[in-house]
This record gives sequence, C-alpha cells and structure tokens, in this order.
Amino acid sequence: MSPVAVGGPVVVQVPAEASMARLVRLAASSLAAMASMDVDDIEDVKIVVSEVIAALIEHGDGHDITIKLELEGEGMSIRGITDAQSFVADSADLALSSTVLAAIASEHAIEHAEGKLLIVAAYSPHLASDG
Amino acid sequence: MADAGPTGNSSERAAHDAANLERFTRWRATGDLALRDSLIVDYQWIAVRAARRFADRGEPYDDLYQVASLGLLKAVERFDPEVGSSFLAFAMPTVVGEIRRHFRDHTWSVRVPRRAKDLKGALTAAINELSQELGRAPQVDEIAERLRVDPETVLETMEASAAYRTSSLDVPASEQPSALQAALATNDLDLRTMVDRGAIRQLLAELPGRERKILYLRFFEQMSQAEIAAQVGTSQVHVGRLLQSSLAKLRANLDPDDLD
Amino acid sequence: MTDAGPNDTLRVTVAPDGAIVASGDIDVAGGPVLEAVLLEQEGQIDADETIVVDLTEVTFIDSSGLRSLLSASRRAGERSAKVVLRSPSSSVRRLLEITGTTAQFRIEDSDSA
Repeated sequence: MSPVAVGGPVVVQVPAEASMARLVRLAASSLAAMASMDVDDIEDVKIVVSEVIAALIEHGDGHDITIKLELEGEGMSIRGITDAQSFVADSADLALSSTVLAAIASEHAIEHAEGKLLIVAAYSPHLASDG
Repeated sequence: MADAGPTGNSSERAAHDAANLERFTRWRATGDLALRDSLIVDYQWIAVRAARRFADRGEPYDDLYQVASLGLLKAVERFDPEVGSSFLAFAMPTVVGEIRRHFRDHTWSVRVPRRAKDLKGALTAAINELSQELGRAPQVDEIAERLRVDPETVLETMEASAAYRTSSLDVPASEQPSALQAALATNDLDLRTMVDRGAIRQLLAELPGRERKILYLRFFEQMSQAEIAAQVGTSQVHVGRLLQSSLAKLRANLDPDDLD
Repeated sequence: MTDAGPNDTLRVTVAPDGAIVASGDIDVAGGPVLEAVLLEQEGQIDADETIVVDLTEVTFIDSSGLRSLLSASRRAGERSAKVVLRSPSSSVRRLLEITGTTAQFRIEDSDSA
C-alpha cells in the first residue's frame, strides 16, 4: 500500500490531563500507519509524542494543550503548545525526556516565550530496504 | 534431487553455494539455458520450502508451488554473483515476494474487524514472520493483509500488546541512523534483504576478540576509526582494513538456514 | 491488591511471590500509579529485600514511566537493595539503554528466573 496523502496537519486539542497522552499517541500512530511507516517507527512516534505531551502537562499551567502532527516527506513533525506563565528549563525530568527525544527524534526543541511553552520534534523513519 | 533442501552442515552448504556461484557467472556470460536450468533444478527446494510455508492459507499447494517456481526463475535470472555472494539470500525474498503478490492478486478476503483480544498471539507471530521474510520491520497494512483484518484492528491490537521492537540493532545514540544499518543498506543487497539480526549477533560473537571489539566500537559506540585506533593501540589504516575484512566475513558466513 | 480503575490504562497488581506486576502503559498517567504501589510495597518489605517489577505485560513506556522505576531504584539503593525488572521487552530495554540507566536495575528474563 502506498502512503495515504494527507492534505494538512492533524491538530488535536486536549485538556492537560495525563489520560490524554494515550489518546494523542493513538492519533499519532494512526497517522504514522497512514504514512506507511513500519511498526518500529510507529513505536518511536508514540514515544516522541508521549514525551512531548508529558512535558507540556507537567510544565504548563494546566490549560488545554494543542498538538499538531504533520507528515513531512517520509517523516512526521510533532508540535505541542500550551500556556505556561513560568518555566524552569533545568529539571531532571526534562533532562531525561530530552535524552529520549535526542535519541529517537531527528531533532527537537523546547522553547518558552510570551507565556507559552512550545515543544517541537521531528521524526524520520529508519532506513528502509526495498522490501 | 532434494526437496527438503541440501543436506550437510552449514560449511558444506556454504561450499555448495560457492561452487554454484561459478555456474552463475558462466550462465550470465554465455546465456546457456541448460546451465540456467541446472541451477533451477539445484535450487528447486527453495520453491518447495516457500510454497509449503504458505500452504495453510486456503490456496492450493500446486498453485503456490507454480508461483514459487516462477519466483525462483526470476531470481536465477536476476542474481548477479558480482554483487552478492549468497544466491539463497537473494532468492528467498524474491520467491516469497511472488507468493505474496499472488495472494494479493488472486485472493480476496472479507476484512472483518476482529476483537483485538483474539489477535495478540497472531499479531506477534505475524510480525515475526514478516520481519524474517521482508528483512525489515513490517508495515501495518502488510500485517493486516497477513492476518486478514483491517489496518485499524491491527493498530488496536498493537496498542493492547506488549511493546516489542523487531530490530535489536536499533539503539541510536544520535540522530543518525545506526552506522551498522547504514553499512548494511549501502554495501550489500544480500545483507539488506536477508537480515536475521540474531544471526549477526551470533556471528559477531564468533569473530576473533580484537575484530569483534573493533566492530563493536565502530557500530555500537559509534567511535571514529581514529578513536578506535587510539583505544585498541594500532594505526587507523589497520583499523580500516580490519573493519573491511570483518564485514566481508559476516556477509560470507551468514547461514542460509537462518532465513527460515 | 490492585491499583486501577475500570478505564485505567495501567493495572498494577501484586503477585503471590510479592512481584509487582504492571500491565498496560507506563506513561505520564500510569507512572504515578506504579509509583504509588511501589512506595506502598517498600513500606512492607524488609530493608534489604529486592523489589521485583514484572514488566511482561507492559504495552508502552516513556521517560515519565521510567522515572517511577528510577525513583524506586534510588530508594532501594538507600536500603542497599536493588530493583529487579522481570521480563522487560525489547522496547523497555532500549529505553534503558538510550537513557543509560540499565545498570540501575537488575534485569531478570523470564527464562532465567
């Protein structure tokens, strides 16, 4: 099956509740499957998305979180944003999360500006053979 | 003529394979159909084995065997001994590919959303089988086809199943794809299509200590050749040569039977 | 003893042999549930006993899930004990490897138990 063309980003807005992490993972894995990513890549996409939303839940003000998933080339970009009056960048949990993102996502960044916390990550599938 | 495969241990099989390489070279050079046919006869067991493996899916064995034989013919015609050293490694995916195409074109099944719970065991089995056949992690639609369910059911079942990765080599320490994967992808079609990662780990364990250490440092620690040379206490040039010869040994020694 | 609601995506139970069995997703939602059970179990065991966490049925884990295991490991270290991870899947192991935390635990595969 060739990848399904998706005409734009998939945007999911959820309350800042821990139970929402799974919902967003499911959306991301569905999108990754539509992009014909393999099962290992789908697992990795789920981890990236989960890291992003967990950090936003834990460091945001508790207002709604918006996650934007977009297929870009062979990969996917994951962007999350939420309100955050203040932000402490230097925490152990963020360091651990960053380590995971650094290993799995091809790039990621955490930015705090104008009362918003923004986390973006790009995921590229593994090298595929012509199977 | 064997229908269960050549007998003998792996080094005899490897020797048998190597002797046939010469015949491939001659057939390609001369176009002598008798040579081609003799190769097909010798490797017919591949078609038998592949057909048997798919025989319980509702398609008559004879049809599968015919399709597999066609795949074998294509493999014999396409195999270039200059590029690959193991015909078996090349042929099996080609033959299996023909059979899969046959299923896709000639059978249609009603895709029933089955309850996720019933499918967990079948899912793991399907992923393992497909990984072996394809030499890579399968896609959701490939699993759906194998299990005869719709892709959404596959995704749901994955959610409910223990999280496993198909590839144990994928432990990227940086954003680059793992260096071993990159080497496999660019150097040798055979390795790329026939990877059984368990077999590679086993073979790594069998290399002499110093070569194993160098391969490990290069591909798992992702050290540069200069760093490895410093660590191991030799010259960078020597490290480069040892890497080349170790990789060549891995390719030559991957056991054909690990394809099953 | 079970810590879970009907719709929860992580169930944590205690097996007859004292192992803490986690089934489901250990993420930002499940992590605290696991941590709560671990804390309660630690209060009940002898100082230098190991805690076994059975991960056979874990369907997903990320760093927030890992944190619950790491804090248990830290507390165990203070008691000169270790946390044993039983049957971690390849996904779990890979998470440990990329975070460099494999050595914080003792890994027990089901066939070596």
